[in-house]
Amino acid sequence: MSRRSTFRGIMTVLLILFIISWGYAAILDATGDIAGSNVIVIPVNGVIGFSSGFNEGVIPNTIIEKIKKADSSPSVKAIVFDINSPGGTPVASEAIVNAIKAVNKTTVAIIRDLGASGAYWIASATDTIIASKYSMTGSVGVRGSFIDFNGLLERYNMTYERFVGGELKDLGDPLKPVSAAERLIFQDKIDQMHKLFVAEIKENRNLGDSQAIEISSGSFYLGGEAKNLGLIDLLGGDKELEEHLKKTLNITEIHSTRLEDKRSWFDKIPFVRSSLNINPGVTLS
Amino acid sequence: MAKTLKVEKGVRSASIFKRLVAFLVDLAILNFIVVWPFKRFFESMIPSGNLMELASFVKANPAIVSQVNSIYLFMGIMFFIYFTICEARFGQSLGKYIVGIYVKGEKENATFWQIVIRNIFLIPIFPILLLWVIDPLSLVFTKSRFSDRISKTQVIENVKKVYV
Repeated sequence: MSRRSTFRGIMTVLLILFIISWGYAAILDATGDIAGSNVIVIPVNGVIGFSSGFNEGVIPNTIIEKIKKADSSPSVKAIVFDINSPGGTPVASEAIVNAIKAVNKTTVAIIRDLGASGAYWIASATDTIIASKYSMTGSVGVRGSFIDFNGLLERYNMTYERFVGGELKDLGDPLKPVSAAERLIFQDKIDQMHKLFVAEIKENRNLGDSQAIEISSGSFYLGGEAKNLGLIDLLGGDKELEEHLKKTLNITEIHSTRLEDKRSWFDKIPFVRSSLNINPGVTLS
Repeated sequence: MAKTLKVEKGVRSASIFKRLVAFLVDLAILNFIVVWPFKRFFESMIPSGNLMELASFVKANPAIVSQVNSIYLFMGIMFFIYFTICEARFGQSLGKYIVGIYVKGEKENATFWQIVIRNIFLIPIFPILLLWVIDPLSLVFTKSRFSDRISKTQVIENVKKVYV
């Protein structure tokens, strides 16, 4: 056999192996990492919000992708949301809540140090909420803020030149003072969001009117208080979670898989993470 | 008086150095073709950290560990297929082709089953795994792998002898 045909033959073998390996890896990447697991744990750590791809917090699309993946796997019996988050933006929180409500499997939320506001909203969409007696939860409120730079401009003898088409177009511009009318508009929007938020929690947790009024103060609650108010179901941690899952799913062994975020090397650069965590605007926190 | 040059072609056992270079070349190629596709999978599933963290992860995630084991088995089988097909069909893997050495039986070309036996060490299953220790030691001390001897194969290179 000539050297050229030997070389061609070896290359053909390598090409076939290449196709098989990459094909198998692609299949695994789609479903294989949760194969054989009966419980999937989805971490919800950090501020919830849509981002340009650099944010270290909770990005709805990645969480929803994990929820769908777990929900579509036949071996998975329950999805656990491991929450340690102060909340985030309403739209991002709602997107995750809707995805949880669409799940056909048992869902459980375990709140670590913090599961407040938008993060609590996410927890409230699950079947069962577990929290430690030291966990901070609740905080069913809405806040909106920005820094008014008007005084700073005045100090340096600078002025804000205003040109708008539409009287309220520059509503919330930090370079001009907020008028009384604008203040009312802002407060009205915040109140509307708050009303919707309280109604959502009330519905998700089957709360009575008095409980709803109590939680609408926006205060946070420790685990024991939250249990008395009906905001959580069980006090405890991993042990209680395990017992609850075994009892609810009627299983003797838990094979869990934790779906961590896949981050690129660029996301791991410390200054990129810290500098892009600022989310101005309205947040549930 | 004019001198006459006489050239004789022959073969001899390939040096350990050439065999090692050929094997490293093959490993580098297979790393890209067979191992690299699973890099993303391993990175996303197995946390980077110290040994203690890894040990607790292994204990807490038996499903992933069995998945990882099956991938290692798949990789081993791919390696085995590569060496077996190439050496049985062409007498050479790409690494051997580059350094100019090839596999033969004791007297004639090696049969398919001889090649299977000499490459069986690539399949990561106990007790075959013991060959990963036995083969290199045997190569160092006897200049042939234990797998070479039981399969009755040898790795050789062509030589030219020039007489005046």
